[in-house]
Parts: sequence; structure tokens; C-alpha cells
Amino acid sequence: MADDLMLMLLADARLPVAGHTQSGQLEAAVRSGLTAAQVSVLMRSRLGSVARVEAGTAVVALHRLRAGLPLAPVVDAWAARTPAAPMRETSHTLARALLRLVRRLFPDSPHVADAAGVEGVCRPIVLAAAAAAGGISPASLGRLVAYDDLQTVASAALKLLPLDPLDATSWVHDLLPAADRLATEVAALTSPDEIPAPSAPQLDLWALAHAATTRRLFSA
Amino acid sequence: MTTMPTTSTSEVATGALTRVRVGAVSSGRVRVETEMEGPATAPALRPMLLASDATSARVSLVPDGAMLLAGDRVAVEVEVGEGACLTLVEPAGTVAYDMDGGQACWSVAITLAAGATLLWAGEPFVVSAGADVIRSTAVTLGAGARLALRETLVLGRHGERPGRTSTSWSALDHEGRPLLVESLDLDEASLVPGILGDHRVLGAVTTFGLDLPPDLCRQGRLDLERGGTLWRHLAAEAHELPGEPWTVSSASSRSGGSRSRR
Repeated sequence: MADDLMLMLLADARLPVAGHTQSGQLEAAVRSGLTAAQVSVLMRSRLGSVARVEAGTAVVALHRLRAGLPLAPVVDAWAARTPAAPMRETSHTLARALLRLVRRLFPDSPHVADAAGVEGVCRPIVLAAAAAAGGISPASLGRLVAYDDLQTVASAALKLLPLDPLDATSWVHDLLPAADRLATEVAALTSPDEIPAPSAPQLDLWALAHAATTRRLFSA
Repeated sequence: MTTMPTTSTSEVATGALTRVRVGAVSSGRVRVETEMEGPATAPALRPMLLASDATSARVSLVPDGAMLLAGDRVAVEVEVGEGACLTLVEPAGTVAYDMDGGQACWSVAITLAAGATLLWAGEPFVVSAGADVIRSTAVTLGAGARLALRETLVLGRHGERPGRTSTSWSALDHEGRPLLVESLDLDEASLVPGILGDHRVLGAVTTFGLDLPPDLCRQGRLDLERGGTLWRHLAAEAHELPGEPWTVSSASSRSGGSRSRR
């Protein structure tokens, strides 16, 4: 089977993996004054930072799963590149939700079992396990991470700001080439040390601020 | 990015290497070695011993020559021996000037032995319009080592457009496991939502090995996964950065240092 059907399944917003609870720091950004016109800029900022770390982590984890190498160094590398505790916690929560699904889809996959057994498992590692079990290439996995990140913010924007849904989708569309470049850049990575570590100081601060507030629509 | 220290002897040919070594605590006054390598004309940070006693030393890094200009390569290597405590001070901030298409490097390698402490309140590093600086900081921490490091990046002098700087940061523990790995490529395009917003000043206080109460100084406090805390603040002007994170972490480093001496 071609890997694009599996990719469509994993990229589907209707997947029961709690994606709708996430705004990718957009809610905190809007609270601090971000306007509708700036949402696509935020999406681009994420592609250059957190989505890059996540895609790199996923691709390296995929390589190590297929090569039978331990995943703990990948978790270490990801955590060292994710200084905001609320972002790490969000990733752990999403990893657990995704793991439930992936275990059901691939009950006999040793890769899924490997990912499930990792202490401090984060979302990109479970995505890597799904990719390993589902026959998805590293470049496709990178595109999946980047695309999902774009759609997460775009769909959250529709709940937070008065927007035309066609605008939100066109922002995603316009950033597809950037998502593709990101995936190409990380596709060949194999070592945890090589995972890109681009920081996004304001995203980190928004994640902190959002975790400290009780009045919110999205969990992160 | 790589997690290897970027300082190598080949860089000495075109710039200056500043070395500060504090020996392990034994009997008598702590041993402090300071040296500079490189051509006399190259700009450098001249280490000047201000004070020392049985367990600690205080060294000032004094800029020698005009800096930072195109082609400058400033490297600083700091080693602190077992149980010893080093405080580094800078008499003034650093300004990287318009490099007219050129580039400069500023690299710092810190190696802390078991139970060693380094306290370094870095002064603002200003990246003027047209400046292009590669900055790297690589830290290796021995078991129980303590670090408190303050860094302030300012994009552009007052009322000026930002220059460009590529920064990389890595801290590894005594087993070689990463504690913090970060890179930031900053220029005018970084003044966007999510990266710097509309702030041209990025302040950081990075600490490792300090036992800080969890509720202390919550604003901008990023508690790292495997120990250590990074306080980060964005501001329009350097003087707007809050002083508390540094006050708290430097005080904790000192008290931690005295604990280890007993």
C-alpha cells in the first residue's frame, strides 16, 4: 500500500487523539494581543522552531526504531530542546492519547511496543512508531508533523478569532512549501545530537503564561 | 546543531583565546591561571584576577582593543576545579559594530568539575545594524556543579535596526547527557509573534545545580527537564529586564558554594 493513505489517516483532524484541545500557543498569543492578520506569522514562527524540533525528533526516532537502537537518547535530546515544562507536559499528554490509537491500529508492532516502553515518551516518538508500523518514510513523517502543526493553529484560530474559514485554510496552503522544506531538511537525520534546536522565546513564555491561567478554551 | 564545543586551536590564528582556570580546592589559596593566546593586535578579553582565597576567585574580563569588528574571533575557555568557585565579571557590555558583510565569532566553553561553581553576570551584548556574529556557549557540568550565567542580547543600538546573530547553546551533564540545547538565529525577521515579538532585547539567566524553591520568581521561569532553570525575558530596553532572577540565582550559587566548603 502507498504510504499516503496511512498519512491521510494520521493527519486527519477527526482522529481521536485530542488534537482539538490544542492551539499551539495561539490562545495565549491572542490574549496578549495577537490579531487575526498575524496568525499566519505565528504559524510560520512555529514551523521554524517547535515544529522543527518535533519533526527532527520524530525522524530520528523513526531511524532508531527501524535500526533497533534505544529511544532514551531521543527523549533526552527532545527534552533538552523543549525548555518550557508546559510544552513537555502537553507532548506527554498527546503522546498517551496517540499511543492508545496506535496500539489499537498496530497491536503486533514491536515498534509501537518500543515507543510505549520509553520513559517520558513524547508525541513525536509515538508518531515515529506509527510511521515505523505504517510504512511511512522519514520525509513523509516530517511533512506530517509540519502539516499537523499548521492545521492545529489554523483550526484553533477559527474558535478564538472571528475569521473566514477559507482564510485559515489558505494560510495553511500558503505555508505548505515551508512545511515541505522543513521535512526535507530533517529527513536524513539519524542521531539525537543532530536534531535541530531552534528556540522560540515568545512561544515558551506564552506556554508558561497559558499554563498559569485557569480561564482558557484550549489546554495549550 | 552540534553539541561539541566550537572552540578549537585553529581559531587562535585569527583571533584571541582567553583562558581562565581555577584549580581544585586543596590546602592554601586556590590556584588561578589566566592566559591569552593569539596575535597581540587581535581584540581579546584580558583576564584580570581581582581576588582569591582558599576556595574562590574573582576574575574580570577586560576588553583589550576595539571590538567587536568583522573578522574578530573571541574565544573564552573557563575551567573550574573540584569544589572551587569562580566569579567572572565584565566591566562593560560588548558592542558588535557594522561588519559591512563580514562576520565575527564569540565563543565560550565552560567546564566545571565536580562540585565546582561558576557565577558569571554577563553584560549586554549589542548587535548593531550590519553586525553579524556567531555566538556559541558550550557548558559541561561535573556532578554537583553549579552554574549561574546571565546573558543579555540586544538587537541594535538605541533606535537602530537589528544586526544578525546566530547563537547556539549547549549544556551537558557529567555523563554527556544534554540538559539544554538551543539555537537562535536572530535578525530583523525575528521580530515577529512567537520568536521575539516586537522586543529587541532577550535576557536570560541560566542556572544549574541550584536548589531553588519551585515558587520562587515564577515569571519567565523555565524549569528544565533534567534539572536547571532558564529565566527568560523579552523587553524593549535592557534596563527593563527584571533583576530578581539574577539576584536569586547568584545568592543561591554563593550559599551552595559555601555549603560545599564545609
